[in-house]
Amino acid sequence: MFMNLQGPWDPLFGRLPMLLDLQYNNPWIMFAFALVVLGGGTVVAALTYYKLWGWLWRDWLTTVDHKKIGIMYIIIGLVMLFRGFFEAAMIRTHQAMAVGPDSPGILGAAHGYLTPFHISEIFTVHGTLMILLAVTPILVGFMNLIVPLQIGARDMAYPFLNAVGLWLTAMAAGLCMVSLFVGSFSHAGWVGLTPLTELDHSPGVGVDYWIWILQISSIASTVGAVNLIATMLKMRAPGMSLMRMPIFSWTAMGTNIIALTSFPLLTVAIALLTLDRYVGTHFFTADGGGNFMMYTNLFWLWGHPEVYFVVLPAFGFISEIIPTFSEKPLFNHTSMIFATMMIAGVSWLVWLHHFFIMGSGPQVNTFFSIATMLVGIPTGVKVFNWAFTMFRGRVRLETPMLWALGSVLLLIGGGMTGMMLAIPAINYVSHNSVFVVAHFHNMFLIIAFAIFGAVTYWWPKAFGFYLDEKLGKIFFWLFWGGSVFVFVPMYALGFLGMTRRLDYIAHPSWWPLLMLEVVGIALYAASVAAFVLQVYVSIRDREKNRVRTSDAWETSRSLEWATHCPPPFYNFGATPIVHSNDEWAWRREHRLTTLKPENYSDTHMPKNTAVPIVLGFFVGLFSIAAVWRVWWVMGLCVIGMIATLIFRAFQKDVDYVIPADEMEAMEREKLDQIDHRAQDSAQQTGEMGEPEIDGHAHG
Amino acid sequence: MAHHQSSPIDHPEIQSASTLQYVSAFVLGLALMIVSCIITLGGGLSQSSTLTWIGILALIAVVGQLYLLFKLDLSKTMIWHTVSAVLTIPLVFISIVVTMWMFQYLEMRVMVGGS
Repeated sequence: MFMNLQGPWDPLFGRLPMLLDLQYNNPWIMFAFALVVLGGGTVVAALTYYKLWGWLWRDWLTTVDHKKIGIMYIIIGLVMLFRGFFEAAMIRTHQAMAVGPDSPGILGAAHGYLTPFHISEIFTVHGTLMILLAVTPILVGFMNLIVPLQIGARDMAYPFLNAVGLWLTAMAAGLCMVSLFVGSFSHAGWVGLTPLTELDHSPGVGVDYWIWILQISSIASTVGAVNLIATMLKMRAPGMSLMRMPIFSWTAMGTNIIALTSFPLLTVAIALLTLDRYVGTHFFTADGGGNFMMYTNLFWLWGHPEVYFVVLPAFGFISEIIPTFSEKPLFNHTSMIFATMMIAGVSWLVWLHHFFIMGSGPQVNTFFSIATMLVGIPTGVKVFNWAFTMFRGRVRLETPMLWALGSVLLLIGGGMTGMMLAIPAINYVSHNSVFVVAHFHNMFLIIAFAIFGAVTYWWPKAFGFYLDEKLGKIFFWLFWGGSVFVFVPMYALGFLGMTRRLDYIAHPSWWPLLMLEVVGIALYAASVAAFVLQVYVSIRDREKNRVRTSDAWETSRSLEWATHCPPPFYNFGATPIVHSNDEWAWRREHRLTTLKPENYSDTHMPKNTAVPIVLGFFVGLFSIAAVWRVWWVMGLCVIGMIATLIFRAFQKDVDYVIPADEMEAMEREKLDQIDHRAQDSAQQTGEMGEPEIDGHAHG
Repeated sequence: MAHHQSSPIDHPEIQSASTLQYVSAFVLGLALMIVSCIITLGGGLSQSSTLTWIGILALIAVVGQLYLLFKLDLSKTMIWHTVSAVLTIPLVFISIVVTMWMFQYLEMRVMVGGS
């Protein structure tokens, strides 16, 4: 219907009959399939064996609690990160194998073990999911988890919308997994190069999968941004002026302003491409009167703000970790806020630097080159602020601090190469070389390092016990080693002239450097094992590693440390009053660290609801039907979505109130536990004595 | 949560609903669209002045809709919405005007017979 499709189509099954022609003889897909079935099967079996389905449904799948939603976002992101790592390992080993005309080829490939089409799919899915389904959900998860705690709120401003965002993201991730086994994925790069993504050039379903993954996750990010901005503007605890808001919340503010203003652009660009592919318009065709550079323009109009969307929360993590482990306030909180908002503002003025060589001429290139270099100013301010925070501080090199320091070092390297790439003349030689690939991986590693720092830093807050310190350090050094061995040779290869997205390396002299990159990938693989082991050991020994007070690191500074670890579903026993931008440090100095408020009051809370997951189900089914062009299923799903929303609009029973005496009883139980644990420990930061400065309880 | 709205009808946004304003927004939109249709189909004007005039009419339509339909004003209820709308103006300027500038140069430099 509508379009002249290659291959079969019928009204009942859409393009699904295409699957009958495909042959499942690829051992890599079989391996991945076995892994997914084994992993998913184990989880399903465990849930059934321990009779946990009811618990899962009541406590997690239908929850509107921002902490649980945040944790689920992070889990989705980590699983996707794991899959993205597999693809990275395949690209690296394949390229190291496919060097020179005499290199062997197996599994149907002339060289190496992946056919050209297959490796194109792999680098496309690697980019798409690492950015949109790994890093973005992890960061959104942290913002969900931490921001309401940092500003002293009960929950997000719109708890229901929050759950909708989560389930849309989950559906996008699910769609990505489905594409691995049913049909194919896009081969046109994560940016979706037009006119290659047009139906004439990509007749399969791969690009359609990519389109719907982007579309759903971009809508999820937009609604998430609305929610976080409203939360930060309207739900701060009394006394917390905007300038007193902790720095991570400020970076979340910058990030979400970027998201709210830029993600709709992606929605529109992808919608226009969808019209091209589904109803035969010519927005981005090369030969039908379209302008395919306009797609690149629209994509990067979103794409560059997206780069700062992902980097700002990482800067926020670093800005929280460094003061805690330097035992000093963050150097110049105000300038940090201004630097954050400047980066957010400039993010809108630099997008052409992704296609300097389009041919728009020296005037245009100069404008964007200067704008790009301007980003270096606020970023430099941040680096100096972190350095001055550590200067004359009592720096403790615990795992989160190692990750933060690694991140700052990577920022210097990535920033320098970024300055080089901001010069248009350099782009005429380095565009599409692996030098660019090394640069942006360097920048994304800043985020990865900050994420693992944040995982270690906030883990005791979220779960009430520490991550194993020794395995954490092993994980850090292996990951650092992997980063150096993969990306330093990649920078060099870029200068030697190696272009990106190659399925065959014609230049045998590059082989040693490619082998070094394989060494790096092996280190990364070891680091993944160390991380999994770390999480396992920490959960196993959780009783031994319990957090004793609300302040897990004993020198933490912001408001999230002024409640229990893990925080109860209502976050704070009573709404906290804020006196300083480092509220918890202020209370420590004034000996006000008791968690017992003067009195409790009735607390208004949102109720769990199954509507978001039902809505997510319809969206997921809609997108699968859209990929395979089964119009009637799409229609039914739209009706389902509208009906679900109408049902929600008439749902009156959406909230409840915790009475003050019940709250007091729950709080007393927790406070008794804290006191009990505190008696076992000399390092009590609460009412029972001075915070200890040098020693550390859990070491 | 400082306050708890028991009935959705009590929300100030809903309280500000006004039939007169909605109808006039609809009539304004319709009238401006008819006028621009006449201008475009009539063909009496040159291409550039047609574009200028329908641009001006579109601007009036947008501002009219923002005020009459979305009620963007400086009242306590709506100030955040108005501020957000105003903050998007530079972004609209950047994305549209700078794009036009880029593509004008591009056409001049790479298209055969580019103007």
